[in-house]
Amino acid sequence: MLKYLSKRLVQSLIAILGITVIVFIVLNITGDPVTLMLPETASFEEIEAMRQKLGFNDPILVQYGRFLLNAVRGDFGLSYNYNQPALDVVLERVPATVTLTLAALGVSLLIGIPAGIISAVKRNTLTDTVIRSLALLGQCVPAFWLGIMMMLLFAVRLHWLPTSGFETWGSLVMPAFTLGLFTAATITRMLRSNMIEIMGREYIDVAKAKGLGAFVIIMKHAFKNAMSSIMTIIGMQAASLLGGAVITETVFAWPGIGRLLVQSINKSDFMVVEVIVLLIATAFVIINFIVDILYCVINPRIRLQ
Amino acid sequence: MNEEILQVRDLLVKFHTKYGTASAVNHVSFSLARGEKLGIVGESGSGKSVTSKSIIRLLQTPPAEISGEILFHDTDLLRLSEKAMQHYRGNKISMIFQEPMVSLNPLYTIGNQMSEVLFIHEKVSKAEARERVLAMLRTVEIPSPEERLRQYPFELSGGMRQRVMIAMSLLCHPEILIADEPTTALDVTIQAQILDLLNELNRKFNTSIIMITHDLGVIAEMVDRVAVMYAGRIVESAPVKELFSHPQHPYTIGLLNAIPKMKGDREKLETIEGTVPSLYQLPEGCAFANRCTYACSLCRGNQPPEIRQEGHSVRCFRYTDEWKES
Repeated sequence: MLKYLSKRLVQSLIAILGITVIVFIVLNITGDPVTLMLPETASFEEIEAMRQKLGFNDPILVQYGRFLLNAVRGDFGLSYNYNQPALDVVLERVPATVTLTLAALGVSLLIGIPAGIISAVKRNTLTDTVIRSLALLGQCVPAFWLGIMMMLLFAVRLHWLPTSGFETWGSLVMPAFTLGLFTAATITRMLRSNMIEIMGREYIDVAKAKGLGAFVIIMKHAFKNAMSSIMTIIGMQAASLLGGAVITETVFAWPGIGRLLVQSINKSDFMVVEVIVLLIATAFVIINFIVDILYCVINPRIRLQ
Repeated sequence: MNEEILQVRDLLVKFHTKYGTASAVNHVSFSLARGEKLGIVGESGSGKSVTSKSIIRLLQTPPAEISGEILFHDTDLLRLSEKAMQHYRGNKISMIFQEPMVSLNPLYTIGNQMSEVLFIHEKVSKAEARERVLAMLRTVEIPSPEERLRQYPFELSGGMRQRVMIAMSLLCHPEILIADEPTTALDVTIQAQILDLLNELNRKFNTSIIMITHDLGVIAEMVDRVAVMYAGRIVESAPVKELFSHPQHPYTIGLLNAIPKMKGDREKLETIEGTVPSLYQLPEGCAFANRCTYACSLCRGNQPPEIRQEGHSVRCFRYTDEWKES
């Protein structure tokens, strides 16, 4: 198991290194920040002097090395917009996004897992049809539209929940549902088809022939097996919730990194964009690594070989 | 050996599918005595597996529709609630399956899956369950059983897994063990070992065995009495020696002729001409009539009656008085 995990760890580190290369190249392609830093009236000599001073005239590999070295030290340069270190600007907003993402993941698991199991166990009945239709709907409805509709209903009409921002825990409800419902629908559908496949396996017949009750057969023998095969998808979904947060945070004026990302792109605040992209990409890699560890925990075959 | 512990009466199993209704088992009746080994033989689709699964009620209803009576002692298993049936499964009546490679849950240890049976049926302590599982693993001659308890199915060979399955099915000392083609997926040498083991366990615990197979070799080696199934009916039933020496039904005769012989020249293998009728459209008369060399108009229009003679019964018009007259 240690060999497997260390191999995956090395792969993860290589992936993160790859991400830094891509981020670095994209930033270099998108333009020269010097022109943005200086007033429009600056002369060619002034610009050139600034480029020289900031090291933009060095060979690209040297620039990348410097970028990497600074990144390791946590130095991503200054945010032009906030006049603070870019990393600080981003880190300040991370807790809000993590809260939202975890809440959305919670919503999606709490809805997706029971719905998937019930749908599979009661397959081809009315219950199943209703769940499947709702799941299909959940996958089709765009998050920004759902967010706005929920706002109209629960905040504007019923006054049950605050419209936007993050002041009370009540503010978390709508963004978490908006973000989590798509994932809930995906989990429901994946789990349903996996459960149906597993319920057809011979060891389920054996479990029944042993005299086990339906609940134990479904939860102990079928669900755990179905789970081990859809864990990758849940991991991917969890990571993509971070990306999905961009839209949800913008709709609900949620003070997280997603909204900051949109604002920073609009204001060409490259350093901040760079930090956020790196952060989300790294989170992707880390979540996948966690999924690998969970695989080992659940599946003895991987654990022991 | 005379006490009858299981009586199947007029068992009828239909499957309602989108293609229509398949009559998988048609008016099957048989009984099983304590300690008896009954073989049910037939080709794929003859209804032998469906019959065995009906006894322990493993078929999903719907699509399956089961009627008739399955009397275990005096209890009709078909009338029990699902909850009450759970008390019989794995406890009074056990089953082992064809594919030992996929019969065990890959995520749990052998010890976990075996002791599970004792926990539900006998409410034993962990320590006691462990002891009994170990003892049963020794009984089925699994080497180093302590180690096996901690192992996962993928760490065991096919033969070992089938031994585990047998041990698991016998933990609660069931009165009946249903073995659905338990050796089909195994090597010939392992096959012989498993059959020997089943014979020995039958002697040791006096467990009745219903052996489902398509292999007449297994039947010859194992059982006391044979029921031959064709298209969902038992067409012939007799003590094993009697059936092999005096087969009566044309289908049974065909089956026995189809066994390759080592004597004489190697000629083309014997087969039974034609194919099994579709279970969706069974003929009105004898289902074997279209493949039978003796068939006449009598066979095509009517169901043959059951002719009994000293423990040997056959469903064929050839042994009726009407036939002798014509």
